[in-house]
Amino acid sequence: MQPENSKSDAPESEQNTNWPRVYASVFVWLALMCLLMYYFTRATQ
Amino acid sequence: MTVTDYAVMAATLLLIVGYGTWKTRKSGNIEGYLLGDKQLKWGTIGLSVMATQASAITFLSTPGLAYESGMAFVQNYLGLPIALVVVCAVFIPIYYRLKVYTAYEYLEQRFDLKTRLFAAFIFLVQRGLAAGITIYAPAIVLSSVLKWNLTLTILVVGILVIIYTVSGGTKAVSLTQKWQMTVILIGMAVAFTTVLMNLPEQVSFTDALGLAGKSGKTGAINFDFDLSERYTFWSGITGGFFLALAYFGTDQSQVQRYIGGKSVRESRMGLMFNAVLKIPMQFFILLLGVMVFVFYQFEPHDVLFDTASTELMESSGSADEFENIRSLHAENHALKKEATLALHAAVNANDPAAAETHTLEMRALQEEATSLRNEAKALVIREFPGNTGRDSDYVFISYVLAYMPTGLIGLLLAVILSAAMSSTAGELNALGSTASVDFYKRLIKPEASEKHYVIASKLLTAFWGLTALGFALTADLFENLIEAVNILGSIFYGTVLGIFMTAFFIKRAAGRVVFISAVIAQSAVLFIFVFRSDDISYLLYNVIGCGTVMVLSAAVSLFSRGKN
Repeated sequence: MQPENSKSDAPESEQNTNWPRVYASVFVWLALMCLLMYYFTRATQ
Repeated sequence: MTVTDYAVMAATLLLIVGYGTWKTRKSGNIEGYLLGDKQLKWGTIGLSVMATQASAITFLSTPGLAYESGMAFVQNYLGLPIALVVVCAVFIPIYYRLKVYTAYEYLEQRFDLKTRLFAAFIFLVQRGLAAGITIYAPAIVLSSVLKWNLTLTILVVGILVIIYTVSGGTKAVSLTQKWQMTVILIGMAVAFTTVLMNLPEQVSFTDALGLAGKSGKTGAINFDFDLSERYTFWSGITGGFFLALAYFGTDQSQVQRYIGGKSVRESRMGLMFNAVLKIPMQFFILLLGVMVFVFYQFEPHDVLFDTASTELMESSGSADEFENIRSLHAENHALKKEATLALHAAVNANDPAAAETHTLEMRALQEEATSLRNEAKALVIREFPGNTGRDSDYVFISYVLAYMPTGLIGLLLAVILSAAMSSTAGELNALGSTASVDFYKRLIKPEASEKHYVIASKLLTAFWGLTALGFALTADLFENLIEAVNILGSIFYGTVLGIFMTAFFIKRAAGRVVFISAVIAQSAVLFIFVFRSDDISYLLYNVIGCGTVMVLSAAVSLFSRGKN
């Protein structure tokens, strides 16, 4: 049951994506969310 | 509910389902049926992943949870973005390289057949039952509030889902989920705006936030290191991480959503979309519940939001006792409203001493209101032992029905039913795929034509659909079973995740070692669940299960290596 024409081979756009940078941005986003929610908790109580 | 609402609801639901079925009516081969021809783009994958996770009960219960306990639940999702990064970096490339149809296929390639079947079997049992609850849980709330026939509600939702899931497979599921999730997001944004507009004229959004904060409802982050506390930053970031990693990385209902991507990039982007949006989305759903709470500080409401239970109590043997609680609650509300208005005036007049006094007064009255509600719930359970007493599930829907304008009620009901249908469809699609690829194709008929496997997958999807429907129709007979099924997920997830993590990260671990480690880990989690469930948050079961499998497998592999 192997797909005949699998598109899993990385196309050109794959090579253009800097994944470590994308992942790092997610971590920064998470830290920012935590910080905002912390200040939200502090500011509203 | 008016005719307009019914028309909006029916049109929204049927248009999406009809469109999805029509667009995907030609699914000829097995890759097309199970992987959507590997043509899905990141937007569809992202919304489809989100729609599979967010069930109707998410939109019914979460605002009610915030109404009762505040916003701490959002911390449950803190580990999710980290887990999705791990899935993107480690899991997706492997699934693509091995060209698997199900996550469990990988386990046979890495270990052996019994490990693959163990994981696939756990998935079938747990998801098969959970799919029934995904239909039943919202149906019981909606049928009770709207006086719909419960059996008919379950049948209509279930049969519609079975039709398009069986007919169009993964592509139909993903396509419908994309539009269902779009309607859900629009609907929730509209609901949020409407709640704000319904607040008293003198209470602005910031005033409402201040009042909610003084009522202890806005605690979104808690850095205290307390194992018995259900939701803290630490349990969310660790337990939430393991839970999300197990769910997104190893649960076929999610894996199937992203392995049908056009490329690794599309799959990764779909998951990154969720990594970025999931926490804000949950935050706003909880904030919506908090705003409903503030609204009800000014607007009177019955002691219970579940009108069906209230009606039953009125004609029960404890009617007098219940009526007494109701009148005490009404008196309490009047005093609470006065205290809240006084607090609001003191804050606006910049009078901290008066604000402090009124905060204490308001909090004391809120505690009294909570204990009156608890008394009423306990009375309902005493009179009707089958009743779950989960009145919080009725908070948001009763608000929608009583205070939303015509048309929007229909839209919000379409949101709830879309959520039920989209997550059930994702589950049935994955159940059919796992049953056909991991069991039928692997054990019963290894060599057959593409057409044969498509038909087999359709029949198995229909079988799981009917099983889930059967469970949903009889679920009211087994109230405790429902709770057990929900707990089942957290008990088994950790071990299955441990098997996958060992496969990915401990190169030397062999099949037999991992299998035995998994059995030991599972026994440890079961022991904790039976004897220590009060001391350890259920989120940590995943950490313990996964950690035990990995540590044991690593230790035994290292020991046998040294011996050799």
